[in-house]
Amino acid sequence: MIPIIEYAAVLVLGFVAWIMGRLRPDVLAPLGDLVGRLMHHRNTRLALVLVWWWLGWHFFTA
Amino acid sequence: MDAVIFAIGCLILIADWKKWIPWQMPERPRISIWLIILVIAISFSVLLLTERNGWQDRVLLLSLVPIAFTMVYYRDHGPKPGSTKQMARTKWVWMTLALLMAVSELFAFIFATVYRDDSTFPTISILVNPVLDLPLGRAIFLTLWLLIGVGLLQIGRHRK
Repeated sequence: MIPIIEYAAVLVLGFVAWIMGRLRPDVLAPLGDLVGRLMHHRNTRLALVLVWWWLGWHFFTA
Repeated sequence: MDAVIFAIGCLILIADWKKWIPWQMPERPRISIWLIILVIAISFSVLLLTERNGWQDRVLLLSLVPIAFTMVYYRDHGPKPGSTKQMARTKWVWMTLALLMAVSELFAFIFATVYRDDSTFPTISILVNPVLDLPLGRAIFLTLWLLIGVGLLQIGRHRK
């Protein structure tokens, strides 16, 4: 049960951070801007896409 | 298997960083939007309609590797934008959340293994797997996963 509370808490906090980015960009930058910035660098592009691909692999073939 | 995937990923990153890869760095590829739509449609159909963990899923996901790699492995151009206070704060917030999630999952995995009880200490996979076995759950997950992929690959940017 404890892990479920932890996962839910992180999801709620992530949602709050996402909303903050939309409503108060002077406090937190929008998530899209952060991703866009990370994708300026080849290394982070490769790393993020690897994690994205692995999520598909993990959940569809594991 | 996961360890192998991430080990290969780390090797590619190190090889790129140390410039071990001898080929010339390509320019950003311009791929037809119709081809991208076709790939997304095929991926969605195969992953939704075929048996989960079937050979079709494996073949499709493996064939996505060179496509995704080609779309992100290109020469960086121009100066990088300077960091603002908000951006630095945002990075820390999201990094902290990602670490919290990873640590929670790690401890759930350790406790589930030690106590042989993955119903009290479920990992994310244990929670998500039953949802993915339902067609609706799989469709929702697939849509989210493909949307994230489209966003990460920045499909549609610089097309104007």
